[in-house]
Amino acid sequence: MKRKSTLFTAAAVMTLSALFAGYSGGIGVADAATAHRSPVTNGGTMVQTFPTAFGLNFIPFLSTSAYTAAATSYSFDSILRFNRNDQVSADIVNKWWTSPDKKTYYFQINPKARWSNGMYITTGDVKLGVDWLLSKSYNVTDGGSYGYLLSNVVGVPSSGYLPDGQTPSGFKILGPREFSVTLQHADAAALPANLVAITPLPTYILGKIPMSQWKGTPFDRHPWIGSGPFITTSIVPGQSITQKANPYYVLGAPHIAQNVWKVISTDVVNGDLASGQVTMAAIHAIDVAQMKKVPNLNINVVPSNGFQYLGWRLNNATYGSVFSQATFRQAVEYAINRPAMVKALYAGYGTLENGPLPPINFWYNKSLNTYPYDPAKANALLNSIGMKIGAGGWRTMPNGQPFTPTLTISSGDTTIQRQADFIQSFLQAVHINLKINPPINFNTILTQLNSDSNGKQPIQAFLLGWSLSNDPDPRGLWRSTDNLNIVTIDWTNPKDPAIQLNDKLIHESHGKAAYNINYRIATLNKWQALLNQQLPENFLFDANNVTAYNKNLHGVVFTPYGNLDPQKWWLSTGN
Amino acid sequence: MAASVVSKAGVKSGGTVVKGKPPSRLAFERFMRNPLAVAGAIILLAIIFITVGAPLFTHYSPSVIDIMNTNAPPSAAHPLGTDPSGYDNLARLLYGGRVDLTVAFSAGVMTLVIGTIYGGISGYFGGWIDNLMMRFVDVMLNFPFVVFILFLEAVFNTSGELLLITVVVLTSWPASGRFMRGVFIQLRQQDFVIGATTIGAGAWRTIFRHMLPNTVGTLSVLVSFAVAGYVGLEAALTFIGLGLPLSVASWGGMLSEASNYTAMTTQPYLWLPPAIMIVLTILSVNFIGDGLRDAFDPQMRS
Amino acid sequence: MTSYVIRRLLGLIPTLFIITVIVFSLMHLMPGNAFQALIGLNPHIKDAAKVIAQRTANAGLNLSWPQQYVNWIVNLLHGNLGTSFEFQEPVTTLIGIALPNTVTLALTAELIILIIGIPVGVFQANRVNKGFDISTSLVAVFLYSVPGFVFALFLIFLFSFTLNWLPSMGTVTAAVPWSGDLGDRIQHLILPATTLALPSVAYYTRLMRANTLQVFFQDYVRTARAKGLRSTRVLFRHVLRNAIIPITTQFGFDIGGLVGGAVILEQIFTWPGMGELTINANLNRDYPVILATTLIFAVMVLLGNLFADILLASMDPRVRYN
Repeated sequence: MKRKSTLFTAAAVMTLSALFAGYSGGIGVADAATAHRSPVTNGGTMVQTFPTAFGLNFIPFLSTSAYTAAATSYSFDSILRFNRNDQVSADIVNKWWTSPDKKTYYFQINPKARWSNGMYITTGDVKLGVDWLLSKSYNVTDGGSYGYLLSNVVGVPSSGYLPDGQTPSGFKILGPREFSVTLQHADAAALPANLVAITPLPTYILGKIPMSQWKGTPFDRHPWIGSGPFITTSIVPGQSITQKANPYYVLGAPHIAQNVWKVISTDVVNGDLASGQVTMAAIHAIDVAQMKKVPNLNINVVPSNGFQYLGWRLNNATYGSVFSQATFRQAVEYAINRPAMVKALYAGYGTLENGPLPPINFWYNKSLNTYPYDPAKANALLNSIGMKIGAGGWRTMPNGQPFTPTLTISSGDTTIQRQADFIQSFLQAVHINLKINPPINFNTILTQLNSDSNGKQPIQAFLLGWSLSNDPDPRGLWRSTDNLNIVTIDWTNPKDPAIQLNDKLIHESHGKAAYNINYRIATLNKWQALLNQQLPENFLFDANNVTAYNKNLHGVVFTPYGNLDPQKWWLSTGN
Repeated sequence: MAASVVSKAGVKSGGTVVKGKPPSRLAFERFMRNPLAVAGAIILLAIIFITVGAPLFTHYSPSVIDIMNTNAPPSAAHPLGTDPSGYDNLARLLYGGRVDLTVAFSAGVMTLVIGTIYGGISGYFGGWIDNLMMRFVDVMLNFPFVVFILFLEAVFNTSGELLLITVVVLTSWPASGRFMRGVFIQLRQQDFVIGATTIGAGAWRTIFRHMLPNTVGTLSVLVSFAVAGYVGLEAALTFIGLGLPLSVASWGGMLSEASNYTAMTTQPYLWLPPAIMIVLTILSVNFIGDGLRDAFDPQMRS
Repeated sequence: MTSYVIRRLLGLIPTLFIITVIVFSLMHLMPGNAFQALIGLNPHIKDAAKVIAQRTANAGLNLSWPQQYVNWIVNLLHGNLGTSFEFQEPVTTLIGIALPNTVTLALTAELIILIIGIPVGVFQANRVNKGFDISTSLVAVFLYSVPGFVFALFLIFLFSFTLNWLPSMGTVTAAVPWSGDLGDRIQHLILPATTLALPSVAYYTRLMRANTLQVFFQDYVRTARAKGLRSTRVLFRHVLRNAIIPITTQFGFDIGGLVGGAVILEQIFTWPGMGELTINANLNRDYPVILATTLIFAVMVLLGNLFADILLASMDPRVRYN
């Protein structure tokens, strides 16, 4: 059950927004007490791991590999970051403000912000980063997927890109350290969801190379200059990335001298941790009990910023009339014993999800219905929509036709298969004759979902997950026009008043009024309450992020969005 | 020289007939006198018995989940603990042999029967027949079976045992066919075969009467290795996501599930029992193979 | 001999043609392609269906498949294996990383197999049913009964985590001045190559033992012994030469087969090789990579077989090149 997930996690849990720009949260510091008491020592080598191989492109935004992005985020900082309370905070840019019409953002670069060779970071470097994100080479030839970050800037055509090297008119250089970005529409999510991610690039290196040749250029294969805490010194493809401390790092030079990322299979990594060959790594929740016994390790558990769900094809030609009733989905939510599943699948290290934002999220609505496990209530709800128990003890459609929905799951991930088995047993307990199809390749599932506009594909129910970005912006996933809504649950019926309300609330959550944080919270609360009541999909839970780390590592800030502030971590000696 | 070769070969094949007992009967008697072979046969029969008769030894089903009782360590109720689905590991172990033995048996049969016949024909006749047949083996050795499985899966919306058997059928015979061809080419040049053909034995008679008994030793290795290889295959397919559904118990699956550092070092009850079953099965197949070779090989007799 | 080799090399072409046509047909009979996962799941692409269609068209997947096949062959002849859909990298770059690692590992493993497997098998046969034979036979059967990944984990546990003698991952040590030295590389090779070799060592031992036994009872060996030749001389002059012949066949496709890679071992030892590349490409429908890896694998297996046939013919004068 473990080995497979390494191959499939990337595919099975899709990323709603893989911003590597900022991390945030407020969960706590690794042995915060000792961090303050004992003297901080400098130096040492820290080893972290990726479960599978990383990509080959290290210019920011170029790689589709989450691991490459993680390594890149140590070498290149974006203009702003998220702090541990999920708030935008200073990084390379240390002052920013908006115009009264909320369309123009002004930024000022920290006078201390430098590249790792000591050169100062300028607005020219920022401009190069903007040009790159909007270049034809990046968006078309290289198939880049972050061009959307700046698609709302004035001067960006609807195609979403410009000729190489052309700067949108909305980006203005006001001085060597000041610049502004003007948007086409005021958007409360623009700064936290998009503009924070703008990443300065070293003009004196990349400025001389046509963007069409960036990919594969020596700097792309091995960037020797950066603005982040650790700068890459060597890369062995498929195996390791070595990075050394950046003495000019804008948030302070790191204590640790060297950081090595190694690719190590999750089947082996526990041994590397126990023997001290790896300093810190994510481990499986079900191994926590055993790993706690290892004397040189500490374990940290934080909830993740994402959720898994059971989806129903609401447009299904056979059973869509049942799936599309909120009462049916509510019954399913009551029928599933989610705490038991979390205990079985993740040894209890998981968090129940009741809506589109996880409880850990800053914007989570704390008054949502938690749908406690209640099979009697589930039965009552199913009875109320006319699904009578017929021959063989199974419920029928309201019209008396047999009701035997199928659940499609992807092969290679035994956790998903177990999840399906458990769900099946809970639904059978309320007389729903759910069948599980033989597991099939994830790409086959996608093909079925992508060509199911008539609801006649074999896929009827499915299990998927999303990991979310720092900002709660629901666009991209939840509007009735969003592709990912259409090709997953298809909660898009324009006549459904709930869906109309959903679209309206989402629109309000990022308009000009939403610049008022209380207004935005109120709108997002209403939206979460709507989805909590409608359950367009059956929200389940998510596994927590479990990290094991050596007791000689101190100062790590563990959050749902990652482990923050690597420049403040330090290694004690004599351990 | 040629005459003496002929006479030797004649004596050899004639010798067994003269004794008055049918050769198979003699072989059986010889087999029964080999203690290791008999032990192997008894162990294999015992394994088959507990596998087929699994319900006699446990009242748990290997495919009924128990969400309230997952990942349990060994206890009186579950001597080998439970797995992450709440399946009883002992029941999985007992029932698990069904899949592994089926796979191993099909692989063994394909290796033995198809491999030998194919290799025999190719090696014996040589020339363009050999050439054509070996080119087909080349294709089959390279048959893109992962793509093929994905294709079957996408088109027929299925997976599981059927695909496993498909892989066995596709992949188990070409290597042994090619190997046996090499053996037959070598045998073809041997004096007793030349002798047999010289005195007018037909092709089939030569292949089956004279050449085949000389390959038993090699075949026993090939088959026991095929059995071993295909028990491991189930685990490997699970690894790449083309394995059996969880509801089907298998030793390979149990072993593969426990093959990580933590389970290996702290939970031997998860992987030791299936590993022992696999080793015992293959060991016994191997002893039986050796015994058969000694029993049938015309040259070992003297 | 030369003309035989040339004829056999030319003979590979139709086989390769058939294999690639099979892969091509299977790929195109499957619905969908890699772009659905790459683009269809990006929440920020406004008109995903259109972008997928565009990328599909750019990749040439809209052409009739005979046309695509011809294009692929033409590119292949120019040394161009296309661009991976998934990694957006030239396939040659990906293979350039994976193939040398795999070949190094395969050749080392093959060396271990031959060095241990052949002598042990011969000595077993020489002292058949004696203590050495029985004990090593048991070990051999044990070695090939247990799947390789179990040994891999055990060896890592013992030699890396407990004794700390050998590295557990990668082909070179990261972040040290001696990274990539010959000694460094050999250290990294020991565990994965041993694990890869173990089952085959057992297999070769068993085969060698069986073959040797068979040869022992051949008339010419008995004659040689009857003539009073010393048994070691008989063993090497007469027995080994003949017993090794069937092994060459096996050796031939082992070379090809090992180059196909061992996915699980590659993952456990972080040995970036062809196995993982191939399986990932298959699971993600990365067609250019599937084609390229199938082709390379096929060429290796076919060359290995050809090599075996030539060995067979040159070692056994009775087998003619025909």
